[in-house]
Amino acid sequence: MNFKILTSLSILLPTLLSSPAHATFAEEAEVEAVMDKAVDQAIRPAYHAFSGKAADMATAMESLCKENSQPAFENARNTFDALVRAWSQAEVLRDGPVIRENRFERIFFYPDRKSIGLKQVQALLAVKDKDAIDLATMDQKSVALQGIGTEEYILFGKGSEELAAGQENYRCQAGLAVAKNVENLANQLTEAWDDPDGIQKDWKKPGPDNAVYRDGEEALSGLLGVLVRGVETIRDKRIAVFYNPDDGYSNAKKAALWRSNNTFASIAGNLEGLQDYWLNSGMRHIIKGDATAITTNITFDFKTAIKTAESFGKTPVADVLKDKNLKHKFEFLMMTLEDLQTRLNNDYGRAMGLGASFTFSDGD
Amino acid sequence: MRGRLIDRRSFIRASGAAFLAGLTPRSLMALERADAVYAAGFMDRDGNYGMALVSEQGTIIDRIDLPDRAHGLAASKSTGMVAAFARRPGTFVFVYDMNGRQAPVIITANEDRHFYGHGKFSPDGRLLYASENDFDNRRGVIGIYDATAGFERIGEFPTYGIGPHDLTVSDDGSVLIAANGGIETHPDFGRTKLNLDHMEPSLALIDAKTGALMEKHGLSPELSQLSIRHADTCADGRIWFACQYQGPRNDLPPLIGSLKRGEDLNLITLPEDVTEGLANYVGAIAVNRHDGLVAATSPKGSSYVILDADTGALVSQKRFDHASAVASASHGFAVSNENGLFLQTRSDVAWDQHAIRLKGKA
Repeated sequence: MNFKILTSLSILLPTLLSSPAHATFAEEAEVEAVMDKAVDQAIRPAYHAFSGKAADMATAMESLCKENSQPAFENARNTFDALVRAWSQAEVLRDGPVIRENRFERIFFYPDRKSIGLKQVQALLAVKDKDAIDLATMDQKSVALQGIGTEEYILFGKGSEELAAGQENYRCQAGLAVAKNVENLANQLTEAWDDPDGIQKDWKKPGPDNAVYRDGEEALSGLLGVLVRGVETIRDKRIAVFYNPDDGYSNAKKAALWRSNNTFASIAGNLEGLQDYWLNSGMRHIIKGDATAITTNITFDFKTAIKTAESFGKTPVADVLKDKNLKHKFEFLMMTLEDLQTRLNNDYGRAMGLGASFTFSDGD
Repeated sequence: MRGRLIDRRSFIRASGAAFLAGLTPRSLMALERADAVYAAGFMDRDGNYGMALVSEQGTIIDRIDLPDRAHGLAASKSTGMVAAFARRPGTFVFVYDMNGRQAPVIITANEDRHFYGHGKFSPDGRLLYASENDFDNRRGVIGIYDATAGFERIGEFPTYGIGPHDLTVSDDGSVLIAANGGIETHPDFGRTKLNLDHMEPSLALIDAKTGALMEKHGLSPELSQLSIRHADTCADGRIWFACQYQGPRNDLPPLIGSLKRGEDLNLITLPEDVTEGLANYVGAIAVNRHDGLVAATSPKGSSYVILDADTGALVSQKRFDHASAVASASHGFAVSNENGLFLQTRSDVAWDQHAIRLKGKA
């Protein structure tokens, strides 16, 4: 456990509890400026970065399929790591074009409780049917088969070493088809968000005729929702699926991207993506006066959580769960996420003018 | 599924054992003397959840700690039992004896089901019905629990739709009415709505003895994103229902409607400014049978409307900051909000979206 960081958290906590947050809802113009920056300095850069890494992945797979060499294989694996990191930053937004036409699940199908994606990629590789990996029809295949999970199995799963052996091309062609499909999906997202009259306009200019946000309060609540749900998803849907300290449950093979040892990189990427919204949009400046202690603590929590997630590097999840010190550090990460969630949901939510908290007002 | 599953032991650990003793003497006395009493879920300022018993004036009489957020409630006037349903995707129902004759019961969801946050007792109090999600098969079900046998789950009926939310029962107990919101969710994805581009909302009337479908009322394609969420009934059997719209924010679909058995759904067209005030989101609906009125609240629109329960004519619209629950009162309605206001009384809690009347006329 990193006691230095924990001590710092402990010092900040009383500051928050003694700081009454006053509901001072921002002016519409302030909100518009925040939404403008959220789109141009968080959402669009994240999708552009993802799109770039998706193109790199397709290029790397093309090279690998031509060369079937060890260097090309290693390059493809490294490129996959970068793709995961970029997607993880973009992944935190579950709104807009990405949730239409099942794009989100097509890019990365997770959680996959029944291992549907695994069964399908194993079947795909077993049949060696070239029609099944036709680029033109990949986007019509099962959503569980189209994205990053399949690419990971091809590059890191059982039999992946044959990609470097110069004798097997079907597996590589399957990986290329998936990479191209992910590239297409990424490009659809950048195009949708780059259109000045499209979704970005709905986000930037709340108003009565707006199809997404009718006023600044709705827009800012929506933005806060990205953060609250994002942290909640990391905690409950990324971590709790493979480790729960309350009941002692652990199963490393349930973790996202465990085959490529990208589980912690993915968590760090998610947190970086969320931090970009927090820091770049300027939403932390919306609340003023004595409530600014809240924003200081949120910024601190983000930095702490990212640093902790980063520190695992490519350590296999199973090793983290077995090693006492690493496990303590992991539990510290979970504790920091819990704290971050509370500060965003309750403290910031109330300070920006919500009655109770974001999730409380989230409807049902 | 990993996550927030809860069994009886962890429920008790999380909420404290105080509730096991039943109502405090102070609460029992208050219940005896009060003309009307409500029950409602809340979150306190420290983020703790619970269920409160509330007086005619909106004052908290007693509070019972719960380990997680409660949403809908149900009460049986026949047996004095009150049930609080965990918010979706919840895994517990907390059942409480208002007469203090037996210890509370915690119902936990079957492994392949979760609760959707609502339910009702049969008129004789012998059965408890709960709206549930059979998530692996993408279908709603009504779980049936035997109140005479420790609330053992004795069966289930389909709701003939996806994503049932509120559930009510006809006065004679023969018909179950399921508000199928039409939104698919799965516990693996938390509260994420998975099918907003192909929703299938409906109101289904189900034979309470056999589980057979008696009537199913869907919406036209242009209203397919209008999620039917909550319902209440009039003495003549008319069903009033309230909706939440998942489509473009600048659409103004009707949000409230009624159904008489054997007829088509009757969606109420309100003046545009009134509909705008509901912000495409009605959180709760209640009928006051004595006054012949129906009320619907909008937390997102910070307002509520009152309609004539016979004609659907608008009686009034009122601004009410973050309006949440609504329940029938001796006269009119008791409305609460997220800022702690319940009727005229402000408490240091955020009231959840639903409240029920436990005793008294209306």
